[in-house]
Amino acid sequence: MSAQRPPIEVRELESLRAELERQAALTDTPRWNANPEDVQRSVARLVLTLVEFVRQLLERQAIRRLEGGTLTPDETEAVGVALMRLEETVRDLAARFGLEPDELNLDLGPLGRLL
Amino acid sequence: MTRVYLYALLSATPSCETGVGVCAERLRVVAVGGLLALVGDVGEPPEPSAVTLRAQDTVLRRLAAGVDAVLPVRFGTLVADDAALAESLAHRQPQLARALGRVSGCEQMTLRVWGEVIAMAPPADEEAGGPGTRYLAGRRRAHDWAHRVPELEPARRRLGDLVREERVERHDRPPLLATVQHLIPRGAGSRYLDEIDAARDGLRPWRVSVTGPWLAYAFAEDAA
Repeated sequence: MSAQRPPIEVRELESLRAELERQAALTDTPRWNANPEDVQRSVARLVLTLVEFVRQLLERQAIRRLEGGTLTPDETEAVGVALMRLEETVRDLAARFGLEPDELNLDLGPLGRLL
Repeated sequence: MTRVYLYALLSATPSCETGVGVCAERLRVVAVGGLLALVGDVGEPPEPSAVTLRAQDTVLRRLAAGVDAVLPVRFGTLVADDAALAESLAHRQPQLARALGRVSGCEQMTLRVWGEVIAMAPPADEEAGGPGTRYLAGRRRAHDWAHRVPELEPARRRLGDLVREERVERHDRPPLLATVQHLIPRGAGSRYLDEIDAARDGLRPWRVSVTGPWLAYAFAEDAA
């Protein structure tokens, strides 16, 4: 039975390993570094993660209301513009501190990952 | 000084011997707030490595043969004593009990979707409106897209009721496009593989690979 199944290719295994390594790196416990530049970056990462968390909550709530038909066209436009600008702001600030979008997350231990 | 190493939550006391754990410690089952926890008393927790991860999986697989539901806990979970264990589980008891019920009598199959082409989201039928409206519509589509993996529809049709629950993670980093976890009845692994094999032609240009059966690791987020 298993002999008929196509084998996994080396490239596929390599991409799986890269993905697992990426995810493992994201769960590394952040370390506080005394270097002033890294302190700023760590604080920026923490603050931006929390802002991104709130932004995603607002976005999900907006989508739920959109699907539920409880937003007027004007409200949909206003909420959409606000969320769009918030996303741009978070992205711009993250780039200023050299933070990738994947880095805006927190490992909450037994509670899992924030985002 | 020993501490309590938490392996898993169980639906019942295993019918088989609990035996020993990863650190060769005697395992015991502790009743805490309506839940049963499989624990060992250890000096130091095992270091995470391929060997110790496999050893922990082996311990749990052995016990799974003697109990309907095993909810694996994140590797390396350690508490001071049984009282601390009870405290840490008490506030999550309802979610944990639900999670145990969900995995009862089930095991996990892991499906990986491979390909060079990332499937495109369907065109929007709601492009009207201003930039805010279009942005929100786009986010709605993206959210929906991230949780569906439509490439797998031919396989889903064949699997039908065999899949009790699904967890999806899109990667879109070719050739790895997505990882999909399926919760299926215990012992149904061969049928699952046969159905996937029968769906391969319909899945092209995407390819899939299957591993499993596993304990329901991907469905134990409440116990992580």
